[in-house]
Amino acid sequence: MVSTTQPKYQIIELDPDTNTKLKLYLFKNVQNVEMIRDNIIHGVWKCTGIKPGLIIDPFQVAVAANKAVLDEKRDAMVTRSVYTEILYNLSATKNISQSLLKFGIHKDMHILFCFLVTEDQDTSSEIIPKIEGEMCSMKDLSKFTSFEETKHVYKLNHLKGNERLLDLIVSKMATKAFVTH
Amino acid sequence: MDESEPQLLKQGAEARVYICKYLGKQTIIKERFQKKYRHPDLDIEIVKERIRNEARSILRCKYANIRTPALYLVDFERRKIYMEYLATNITVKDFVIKHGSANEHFDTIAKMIGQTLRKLHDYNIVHGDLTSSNMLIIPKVQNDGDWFDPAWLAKGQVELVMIDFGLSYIDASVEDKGVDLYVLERALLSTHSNYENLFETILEAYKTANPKGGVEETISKFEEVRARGRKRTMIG
Repeated sequence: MVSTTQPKYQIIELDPDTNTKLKLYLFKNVQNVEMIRDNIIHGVWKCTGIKPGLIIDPFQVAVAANKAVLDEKRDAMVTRSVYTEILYNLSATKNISQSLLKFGIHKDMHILFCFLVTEDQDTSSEIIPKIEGEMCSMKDLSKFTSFEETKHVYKLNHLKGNERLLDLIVSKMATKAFVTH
Repeated sequence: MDESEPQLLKQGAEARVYICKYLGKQTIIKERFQKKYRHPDLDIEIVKERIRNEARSILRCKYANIRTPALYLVDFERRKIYMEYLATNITVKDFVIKHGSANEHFDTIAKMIGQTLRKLHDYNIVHGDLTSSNMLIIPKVQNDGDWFDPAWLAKGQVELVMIDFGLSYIDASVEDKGVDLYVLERALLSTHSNYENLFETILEAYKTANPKGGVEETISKFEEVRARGRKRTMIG
């Protein structure tokens, strides 16, 4: 296989007041999940791993990460770190442990890695080489998405079709502080 | 033009609406500015409550299968709601002015409005500011340009989007729904005085949209409000 020089990660600029960018990498068939999970949980690695099965679009993660960095800046986070806050914000409910369990990684083979990078900090260059798996293009994300499971997690089982799914998911995420979903 | 710099789109009595690139997308930012005549603490509470109501109604519409902008961030600290920008759109107001009632799609639009308002009220959402500027017609699939082709209507390729829920609230009362319809009638009469049948067509579609019925009370309330005006009489 010819290696491509095109970067496979995706970068999304978050709120301008935070000067932070979200950097996403998608990996499949990861062999060292346990080691990765340990490092993330103990805060050794400044990143988080998300189950790609529940992500229908990188924008979904951007909305969660954006609120996380804003709340970190304002000292208004619900969880202990900005990375767990991303997992919490992805969920439509206020149950912290359930949110982290659902969106975080356990024994998953496929992982969506999120890094929050600034002008002077980007930990992805140290961490990414330690992932024993196959890096995929972000365009392949939909191959890992389980629409059925996603709809179930966001309590949108009744929804016909998937056209409005992203709209509903991000809107639920954005309102969960004052609406019970 | 720097897209990350907010461009003022509209200035109202309560809020300013900007368009800005945010999280990689064109985004509408609605900012409720401070009212200097209010006590600051009271002002914050009022603004919070209105932002909450607006976001709640927008979300509730989605459950009612009414298209509304997607919400990206509800920011009480900055008094802003960040939401989806629908590039290809025409307001019902501009559509009526531009194409007039001679347009073959005039009826289609009026019926869409009636059906949408019925769904809104069946879900107990009172809009509070129904005008033809607060309804957008958009193609089901957004294109890259910002032009609107009326031919899409014939093919059923358009959707009605409800916007500006700044005065909305959730309420089951027939009185408030009746007033909602009355506000629309008055707004249409002043904006589109030459098309008297517009509201009648909307109302007809409103009545028949849900075969389960249950609309008679709202309609009779509406007629009552129409006879007396929006304000309830305080005499007696």
